[in-house]
Amino acid sequence: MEYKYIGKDAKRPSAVERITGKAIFVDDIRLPGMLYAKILYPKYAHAKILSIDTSEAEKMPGVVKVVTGKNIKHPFGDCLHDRLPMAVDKVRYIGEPVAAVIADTERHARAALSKIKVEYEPLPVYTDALDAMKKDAVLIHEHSEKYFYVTPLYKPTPGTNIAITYEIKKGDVKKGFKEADVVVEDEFNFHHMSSVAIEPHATIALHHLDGTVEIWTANVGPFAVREQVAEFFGKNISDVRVHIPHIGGCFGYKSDPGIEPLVAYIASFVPGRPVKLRLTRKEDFTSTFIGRGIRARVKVGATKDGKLTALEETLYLSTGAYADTGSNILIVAVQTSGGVYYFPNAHVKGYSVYTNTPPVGALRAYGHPEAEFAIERIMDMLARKLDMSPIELRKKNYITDGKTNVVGEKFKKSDGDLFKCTESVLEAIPPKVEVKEDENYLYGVGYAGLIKAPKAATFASKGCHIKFNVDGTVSLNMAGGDVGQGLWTVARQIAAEALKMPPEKIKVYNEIDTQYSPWEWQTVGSMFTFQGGNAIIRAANKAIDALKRNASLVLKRDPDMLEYDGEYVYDRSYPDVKVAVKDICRGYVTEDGTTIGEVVDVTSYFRLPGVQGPDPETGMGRTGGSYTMGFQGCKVKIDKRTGKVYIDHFATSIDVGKVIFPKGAEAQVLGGVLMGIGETLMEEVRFKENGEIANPDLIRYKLPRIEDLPGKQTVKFIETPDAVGPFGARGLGEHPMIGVAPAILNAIYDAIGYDFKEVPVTQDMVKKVLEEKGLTVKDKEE
Amino acid sequence: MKREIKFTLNGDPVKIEVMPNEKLLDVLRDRLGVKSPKHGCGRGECGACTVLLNGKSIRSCITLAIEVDGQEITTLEGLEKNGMTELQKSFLQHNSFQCGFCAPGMTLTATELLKKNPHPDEEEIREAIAGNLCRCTGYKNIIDAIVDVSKKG
Amino acid sequence: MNNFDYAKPSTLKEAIDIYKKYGEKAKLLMGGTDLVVLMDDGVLSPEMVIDLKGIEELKKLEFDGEYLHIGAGVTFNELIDSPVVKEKFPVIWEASRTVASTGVRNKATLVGNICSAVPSADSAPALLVRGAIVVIATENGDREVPITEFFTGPRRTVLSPGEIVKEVKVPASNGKFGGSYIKLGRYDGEDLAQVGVATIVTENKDYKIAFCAVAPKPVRAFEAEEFLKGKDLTDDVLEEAAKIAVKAISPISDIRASKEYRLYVSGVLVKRSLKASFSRLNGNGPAYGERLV
Repeated sequence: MEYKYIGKDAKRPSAVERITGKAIFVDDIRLPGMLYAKILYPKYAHAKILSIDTSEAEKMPGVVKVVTGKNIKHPFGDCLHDRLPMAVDKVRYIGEPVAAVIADTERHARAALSKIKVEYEPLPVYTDALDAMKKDAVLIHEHSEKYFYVTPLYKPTPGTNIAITYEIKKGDVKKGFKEADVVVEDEFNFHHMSSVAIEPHATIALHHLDGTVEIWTANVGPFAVREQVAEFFGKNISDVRVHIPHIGGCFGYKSDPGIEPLVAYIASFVPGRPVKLRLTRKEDFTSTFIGRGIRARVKVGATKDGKLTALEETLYLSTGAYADTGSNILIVAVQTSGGVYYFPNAHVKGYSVYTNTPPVGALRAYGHPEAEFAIERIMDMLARKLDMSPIELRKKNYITDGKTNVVGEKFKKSDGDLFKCTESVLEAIPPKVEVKEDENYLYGVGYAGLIKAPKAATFASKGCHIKFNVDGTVSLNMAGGDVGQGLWTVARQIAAEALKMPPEKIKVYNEIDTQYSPWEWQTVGSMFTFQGGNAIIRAANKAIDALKRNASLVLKRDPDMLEYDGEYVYDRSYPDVKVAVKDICRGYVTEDGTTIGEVVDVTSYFRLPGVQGPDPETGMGRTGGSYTMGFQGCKVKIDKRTGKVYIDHFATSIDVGKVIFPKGAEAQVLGGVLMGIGETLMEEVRFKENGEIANPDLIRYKLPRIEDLPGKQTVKFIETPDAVGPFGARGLGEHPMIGVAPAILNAIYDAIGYDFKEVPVTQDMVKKVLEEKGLTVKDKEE
Repeated sequence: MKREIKFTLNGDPVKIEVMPNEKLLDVLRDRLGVKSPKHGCGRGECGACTVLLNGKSIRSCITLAIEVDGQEITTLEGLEKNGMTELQKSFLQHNSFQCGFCAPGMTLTATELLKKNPHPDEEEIREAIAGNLCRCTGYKNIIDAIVDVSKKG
Repeated sequence: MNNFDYAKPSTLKEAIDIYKKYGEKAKLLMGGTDLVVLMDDGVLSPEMVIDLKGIEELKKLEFDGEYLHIGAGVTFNELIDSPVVKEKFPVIWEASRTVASTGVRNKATLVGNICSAVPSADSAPALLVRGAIVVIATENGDREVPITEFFTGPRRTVLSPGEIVKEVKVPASNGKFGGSYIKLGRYDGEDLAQVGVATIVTENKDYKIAFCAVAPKPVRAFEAEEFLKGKDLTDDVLEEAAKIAVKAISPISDIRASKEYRLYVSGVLVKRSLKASFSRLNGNGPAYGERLV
């Protein structure tokens, strides 16, 4: 089908603001009478708080109030209410707020922090799930049985450090392994990383004297922030209002309520005064959500001709001090454990385990890279054991039309064409390396499939409000946060297509306000195009219907006899019988001024159809709803002397259904792959034994820089229209990260014959292997 | 202990009292209302706070305000006095930025480069902006936009 | 950052007087790229910060035929932009280009870099192999300290309060030579060195080798230099030289690299650097500034 606006280049709303430095971010906002907060952090990552003395700090210049957690009455959360905005009687991680100073300036607040005296009784520290699960481990949450959980899925195991357990059982795994000729088993570890948006977290909270609360923050879940803050304070949800200005990058850690409940709690001590907290880069590492942190023990079986028969897997998420936000990451990882492959039998169990690290939260594609890293690595290992090409093995086992994934969701043709994705990557990077070795380098290629569903709450929806203006232009309001991924552009293009008018006539919102914006669950899971796009189409159709009803009064035709072209509504058979949209969008003013018809101002919503919670017995069910699949591959070269891994070429092909904004889609892949290279080769939040973070800055925590760009990147989109997505489109934003780690590690194996089973793989790890294998060279040539 | 300092900010004279331990970034943003330099890391590691000091890019987060007494500071606000620069138009054209938080620092660094070397090759461009971190884009579209400008004029 | 008093003297004498008065409680400010971070972290809390940028004579960068004088106020980018540095002191030029990023190099100075005396100071190996001399202004006049004796440990030097490094002077080379500085970071780009190696090779088979980031302070590998003296760089000689050279270092494991890795890579880089220097001596090596890792 020919489209007029989608699939074409488009102007990005707000691009000029962002490029010229005029975009307003939270830290750019100054409110009258604003105060500033600074936070005191503990000396220990796990300790009882014996006493806090704030009296000296209160006397410091500029100090308005010193706040501790002693007024907190109950924990809060989303699925499992185990979170506290500030420590109450113990600290559970090194970045946990112990107290806060509110002062007239940030400098004064900071100066007073050192005057707060806290006595602690240190407790043992666990930074790894396996240690925290040991029988004699000290409990990080002594009374997890008291916590509220929304469904039994989120029920903690009291008397242990296990927060949640989730299990899926498909078919008969014992039988599956009996049928197998070959079994491969191994353990994989995906270390913690951080989202590291260049904009650190910042929030302003204001408790009005009438009891209502107003918050300005960088978060793509404004309605979740509103609900959790309201619940924490026992207020009506309608009495909390959240504003979202521009967001300086998200990548996950700004999508669940993070520092907002903390700032709202602090600000509650100074009613009438706005309080700003902006985190330093160090705090951004230590005191917000981190990501990943999953170990996976995997066992797969296959027949000798390469048919997969069974998957058995156990996953351990080191979920950090609070498990609420990590719970869904574990669940998603379990549900994704089979990757793009069909397993007739599967038994997968996952534990999310309390540890003394910052809580794990969302991070681009959460749950998927961790689980698919394991499965995509083991597929290569299995291929070797079967003496089969890893590509052939993959293709033999792709989930195709009519087959089911590990949670039993049946796939349809319209879910995408993995074979085409595979072919286009192989075209860019052929599976055979011409020269395996030269004087300085070893070369290899590797591949991985990728798959991801939105994995949202079953009730997650997005809304679209369309307001026709009297000149025929449209104001479009939604609550999707454009963190740079370009969704405002996509929204405008879809609206233009659906409303049949040029994008220039549609003004897209550029800030979100829970008072005015239509409700949206959270802008997460790469769902905006899919859900939001459908909400736009629904709202557009509703508006067009209203225009036709109005026109029918004017033109004296039944509405279904009328057509709409963006500018006019007209009689289908006599197009010159028409009325201009601008004349009927607020009703129609007749000659004597009497006005008839409706005001065209509509809102519509869309949610993933038919998505279920998992079955309590088997863990199975339609939990994904919509899948995007793809394939990635790379060619690496490894410096024989230093062990440095260079990515010569990285190729990605994703079946997105329909590309809406080509430049934006390509940019998502370019950036996502580089972030994937970061988590594969350099990025890791490292913990010392005492739970401190060893690298909370951008020198020691390695973010990819220009020099880390692959020599070449190929991006190809396949367009198999989705049955439900708007104009056939599917989600894309997070996916480019998913296959990067396994593709690179598979390529490293191809180059040096060694299976790395954890990421990041650093230069000295590679070097060590080269030495052990005698692959280094003596510097005699050159 | 406050000291009065005078400097030129985007072509206009500024007179302000500062404490010796106030950072230039904080004075620009919080006291002078110049918001384009951003607070990203506070340690000179990310480049979001870049401003031009006498035409040269520096990290305002590790510069004391008092150090710029008598000097000339330029931020994006100064460059844009007559609308978007050619470089900014090229960034727009190439969809160079996503969230835009690193854009001011990146733009000033590239501006300094093009002033010093109007026709840099790609390697020189990469080297010049290597200290400016961007988490969104994968850098490619930023480089392409600067290459485009370097070929003109 | 704690509060402090600030002075911006216009002469060295004035600066020394203030420094004498405050002693340990004063810190010198030039580029500030290290000092401001340390003050911000609370590692340093001086009562007085003496900004040396007002002292005209410290801005000197000149070559008088005998010495290159690098004044304390000369930034890394000024060194990089100087034709005489590039032509006659190419290893210093090459090393300067590896320091952080352009936005840092516009303020950071070479003298500041050695005064901070971090073990990974990029400028140190180049100065060590060129036999640089540190000129220190004191209340009793100038004193000169060879760079080999300047560093005493991590973040420690021979300087005492009241003493201000005025300049570093680097002797011109008599004959033809080739040199190189190779820095290996954990990954490319702005990074602290995991290992930095500078070498110089002269026509009459005189060799110089120095390291940073692999010992408590930047060091020369004297024993290896002695071994190499007069020898041709055959494979066996290189191999042996690298073995001896790494005896001069004592790397630690930290977040950037393990001890074993640093030892190994130091040897690799010594060989690579010597070879690059040698080929440059013969006019067939990679251009200065070109990637050697």
